Amino acid sequence: MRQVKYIFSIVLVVVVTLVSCERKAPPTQQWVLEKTIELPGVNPIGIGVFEQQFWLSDGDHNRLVAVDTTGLLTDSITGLDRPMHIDATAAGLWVPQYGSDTIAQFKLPSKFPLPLILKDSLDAPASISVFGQERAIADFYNHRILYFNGMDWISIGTEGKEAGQFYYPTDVQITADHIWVADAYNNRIQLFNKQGAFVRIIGADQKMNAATGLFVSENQVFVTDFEHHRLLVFFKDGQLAQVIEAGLEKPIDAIIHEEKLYVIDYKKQQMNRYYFDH
Amino acid sequence: MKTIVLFFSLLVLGSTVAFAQKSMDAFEVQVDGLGCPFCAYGLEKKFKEFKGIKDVKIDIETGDFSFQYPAEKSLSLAAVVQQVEKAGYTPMKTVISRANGLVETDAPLAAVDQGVAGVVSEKMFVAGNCEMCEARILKATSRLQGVAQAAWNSKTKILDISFDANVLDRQSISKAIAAAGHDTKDHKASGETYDGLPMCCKYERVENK
Repeated sequence: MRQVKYIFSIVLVVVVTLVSCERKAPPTQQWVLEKTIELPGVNPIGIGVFEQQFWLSDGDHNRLVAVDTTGLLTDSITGLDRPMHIDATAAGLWVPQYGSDTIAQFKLPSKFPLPLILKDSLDAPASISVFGQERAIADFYNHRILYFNGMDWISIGTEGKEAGQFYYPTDVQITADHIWVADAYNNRIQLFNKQGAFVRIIGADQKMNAATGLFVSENQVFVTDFEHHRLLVFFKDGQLAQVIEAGLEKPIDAIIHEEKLYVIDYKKQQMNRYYFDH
Repeated sequence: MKTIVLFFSLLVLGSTVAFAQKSMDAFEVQVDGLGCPFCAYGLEKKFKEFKGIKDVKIDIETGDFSFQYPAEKSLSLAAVVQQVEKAGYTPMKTVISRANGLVETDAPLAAVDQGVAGVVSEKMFVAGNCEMCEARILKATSRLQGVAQAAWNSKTKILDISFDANVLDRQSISKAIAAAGHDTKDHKASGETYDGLPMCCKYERVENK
């Protein structure tokens, strides 16, 4: 009888544990569309946040515009030559000018452009990332990333489809340990270490066309799939976490600000805000 | 005397400026499929590299692309069309207003009336990706004698085409589309033409029978 009781107790414990595990399984965590912010007359390409204002590059109209969370234009910088994926730091805005092969820095509130001096020449810079003293530039027609490690500039990649090569890179982001590249027309993301060595490819199996914009957060990687009207969310190891299609037609860049995801749409002239549903 | 000299100087300067302005040919190209800003700005950028080119303007929303070029260089309509196509775009209509007052244009063939006896409708798979592909595919069909109507869907990859079966057949349409760079079930684009497509148009090749 004691043995029966013992076996019954063990079975009970196992069942309770299983049920309890099932109940404790994490719910699906998803980004959910919260709000669409209209941007009439603005065809956004890049996004950055400076002092609680969203700055957008409006390449079609050769300007940057600042908007608030309602989409109201609060400031602008004009006279640019096809500004693309910008970056914002405490020091101001960094602007790659695709049409003039230059990078300009604006120490706001000054709107006087300070040129980034390079020994190498660019051909259609599509993006810049600034991380401390480090800089990275997506050099579109040269199919490479120029990376400054605080001491020297190095050139990463050549034209091609192999690992470590690029076919028209359009966006780049430096994080603490790596350099992430939107390898747009190879339809993938590539990850490099800070010596310029190839680390990993992400998203090659997702049949993107084309991976035009990139944002890397603490845990996730956000990639705009321009022609397929969607945003792909990956974990940093490359595992697909979510496909966001709601509200998107020609998504081109994304950013996380105050725990909300903002995605700009080039064609719809909109900025969509998503919250993370726990 | 000084006034007269100044007057003549201004007259000569004015004439020189007027002559310089008159000696430029004006080019207007209606470009279809300017969906991607990286590509569109690239077209503008590549044309800016032409020596002597002025006032390069591109309106992505309307597809209007215009520039001025020195008349003495006699840039031909065919050369402009070729250059735009080389950059990966599809010029739908080109108008040149020459400095001497002449106007040149390349209008597409008039479409056949849908109601004409012999007009049939067919569906055809055509490989492609984007709006630029769509423009290229439709331009290839619009250049064929006997086409009444054509529409291509980038999601389904299906071309719906109506044509006069007395003057055109399915194989000729398929061949013309492949020659423009897009694989069909029956005809494959040449490697060279495919390689010349812009980056966003590089679709997955079709394995023909």
